[in-house]
Amino acid sequence: MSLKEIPPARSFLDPPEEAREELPDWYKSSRSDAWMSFQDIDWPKRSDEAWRFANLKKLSYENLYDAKESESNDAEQLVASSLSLKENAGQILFVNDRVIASPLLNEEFSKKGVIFQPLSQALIEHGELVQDHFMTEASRLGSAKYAALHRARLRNGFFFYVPEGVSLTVPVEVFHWVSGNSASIFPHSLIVAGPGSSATVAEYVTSIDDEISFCCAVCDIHGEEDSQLTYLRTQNLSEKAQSIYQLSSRAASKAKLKTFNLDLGCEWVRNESVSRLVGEGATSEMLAVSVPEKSQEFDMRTLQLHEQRNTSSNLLYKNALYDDSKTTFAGMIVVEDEAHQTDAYQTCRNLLMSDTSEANSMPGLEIKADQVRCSHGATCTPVSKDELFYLQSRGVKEPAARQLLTFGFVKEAVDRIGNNSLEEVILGKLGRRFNRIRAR
Amino acid sequence: MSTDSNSGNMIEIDREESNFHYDVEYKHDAGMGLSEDTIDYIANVKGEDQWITDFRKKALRVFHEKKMPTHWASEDLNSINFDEIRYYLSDGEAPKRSWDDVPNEMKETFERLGIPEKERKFLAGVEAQFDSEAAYSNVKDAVAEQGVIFVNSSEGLAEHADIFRKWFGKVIPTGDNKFSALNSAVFSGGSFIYVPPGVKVKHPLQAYFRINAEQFGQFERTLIIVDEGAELTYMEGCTAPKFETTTLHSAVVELVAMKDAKIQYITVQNWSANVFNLVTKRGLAHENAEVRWIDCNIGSRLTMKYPGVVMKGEGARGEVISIALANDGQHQDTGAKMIHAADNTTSNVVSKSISVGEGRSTYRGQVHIPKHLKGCKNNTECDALLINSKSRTDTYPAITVRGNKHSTQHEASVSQVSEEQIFYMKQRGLSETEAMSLSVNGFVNDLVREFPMEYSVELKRLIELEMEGSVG
Repeated sequence: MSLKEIPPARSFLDPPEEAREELPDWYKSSRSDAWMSFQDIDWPKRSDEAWRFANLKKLSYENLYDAKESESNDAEQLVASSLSLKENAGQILFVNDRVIASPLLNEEFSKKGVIFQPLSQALIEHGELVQDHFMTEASRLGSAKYAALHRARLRNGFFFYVPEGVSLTVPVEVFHWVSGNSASIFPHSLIVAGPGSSATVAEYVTSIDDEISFCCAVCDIHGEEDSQLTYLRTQNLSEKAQSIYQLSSRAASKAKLKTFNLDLGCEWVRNESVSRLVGEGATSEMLAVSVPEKSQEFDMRTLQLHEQRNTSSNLLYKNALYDDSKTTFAGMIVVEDEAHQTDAYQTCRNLLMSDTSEANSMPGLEIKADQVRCSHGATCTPVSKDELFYLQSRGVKEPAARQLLTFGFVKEAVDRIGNNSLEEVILGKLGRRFNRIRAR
Repeated sequence: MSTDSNSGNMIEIDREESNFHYDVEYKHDAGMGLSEDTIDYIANVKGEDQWITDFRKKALRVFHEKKMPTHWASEDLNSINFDEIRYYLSDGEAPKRSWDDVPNEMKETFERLGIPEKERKFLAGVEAQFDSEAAYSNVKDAVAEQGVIFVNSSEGLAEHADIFRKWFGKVIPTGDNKFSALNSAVFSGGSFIYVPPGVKVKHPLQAYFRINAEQFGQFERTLIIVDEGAELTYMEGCTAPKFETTTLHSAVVELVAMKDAKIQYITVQNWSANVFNLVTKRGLAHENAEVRWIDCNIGSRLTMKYPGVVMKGEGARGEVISIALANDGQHQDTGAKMIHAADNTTSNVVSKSISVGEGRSTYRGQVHIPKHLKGCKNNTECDALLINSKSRTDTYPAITVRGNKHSTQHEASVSQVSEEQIFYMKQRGLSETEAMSLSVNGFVNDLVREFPMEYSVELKRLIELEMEGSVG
């Protein structure tokens, strides 16, 4: 192959590659519009209220390229290592935003009309259904520029649709692998739970190597009337990676939505999570666990938006910080004018494990309705000396006692997932992280 | 528990007591608008040293350079037209030491407000500021003999420069924010207090701030230095008549508590509902010193005030106790700022706000515990009570903690007066208004007790009056 024929690496600041010919027109123009918006919107600045305490120096713009197709010999090995639950209802595997094995969906569910497909396929086969739900939520917490970037450059992701009244008893799973130096991926997750349906989705984002990479992801969840949906995501990218992740959920009347985020990897993480309660009686639970170490920085912004009366939301974020790591939590509860009889709770707890770790908390409330029960709490504390002493007096050595207490600290959030097999997966990942930290 | 019947018209009652003004002939009037000429005018009237004029002019440049902080604060700030405000008004007289010498209009003003009647009762000293300058200033002989200095800012800088210049503008630098810069440019009046080592001033010193003129800005500057082991309680009250036009009050208050000293600073703010009250207040606490801000905001259109304590010496303590009541057309944007800059420092913030009718109350807080310190503690509690369905409350705290040798906790809650409570009281023969007012007083009761007796009685009465007509 002559030099000329090697396609040049495409920086994410270059115009994105053209969408494939067979994709619907609305999608093609959505991409080009998004690229225009991306160029129009200003880069975030630290002086923006939405980026207060953020360390933008760690967010680089240059030398990041659209991820290329990875070497084929990785694929088989990755398929083999994409194991998590003993049983799932379906799975899709991606490397660098490309599908590497035939997507699976239990026949029982496909017969009932469940759609679980790579987005590239769903855009063609279920174009209208995707169009109705695709990127319909505004980016509200500061990363509008990155939402536009995502929409302009995204290559793939998954579409999961559960029709009215259908219940999936076991989760579907999505694996994203990232490989190669300076690779950027833009995975899109779109989940629609029809009226009265119930389902669980687990998504795992992991690096294969320890190269620099960039993940700019968007996940939208639409919970229609009476639906029940649990969504879980773990992020374990390389220690040099950067990640911007925007999650928004929309709960219609009596819908019950639950999201859980586990962040372990990346040098720099920005998670923006919005939960809108748009129908009476909707409930939302937002859970997250982070265990940053070394110089990792995790920046989490959340919004619980109560738009209708009689809605409830509950947020619990737990961070255990080691070494020079830093977390920022900015949570906001907004109760709109008419959203009376609302219950909204927000708790962020930081456990500081070293003298050089730093936790910033900005728990906020904006209440415009009445008959509201609202509270938030934020704490920053070291491991309790009394608890440590108690364990030591029972013969547990200090490092083990510390690990036990930290594990117990984060487990409170994991326990609320409400699915034993997924909780085991999460606790397994946390256990490995804690063991590694202790062994250092 | 909430009701929405005409909450508007019956609520202004308590402010009527201070809603009057006199036509006063001002000998000195810097005119409308703000420029270097305004500063020259003020400097000339006051006969100030050149360094003060330079300080003012530099501050004016900073004020013009700084943007309105509307990216986080209320857009209502943009309603202030700086060109339609008079920055200096006075009768050109030195403050009177004897009440009999105070001009009649001013005397009547203060007498209607109960000053210096209060002084006769229990105060160690009083200063009464009328628009830009102090009209009356007196310290009881016994206190003056202990070496306590209690004068206005011009006198302090002119006659005690050795004491005050060292700390002037040091706790709150000119460029701290747009309004501290404005104050630094045109400040006039305010108290300068020095308490010598070991002197414990038994009774409170009091200042009373009165705005009489229309389209006017009051920019008092207060600096209090309490030397090693000394103690002081200072109280200030503020009122103004209600005009249709905008009135601006933008003070800078700096406190310095030397080693082992204690300062308690009490404010009861009851400006009329056309006043923009944009105040910067901060205390510096040295080793084992204590600075307490006790702050009550009932009046004004928009108050933005976040008293702070910089705990600079080991073992220093900072505290903010805050009560805010926001009625129709009011926004009480208050809070606290706790900067821990030494080991084993402790801070405590307790804030309670009540939003009535369409009122909005906001808590904004900052707690900062930087690296390499140990044993720092912060506790923050903010509770908000919403009375009507249009009432609004917000909470925006920011907490930074570095290291594993500290502990901080922040809790906030929003609630209503419970229907069961009201039902119970009504069933015992109280009217709904009485029941509501009792309930609200119960909500703030533990904080009201922190105020001196006379003030806590007054506060309870104010709250009762504010609540009148909000239900029923």
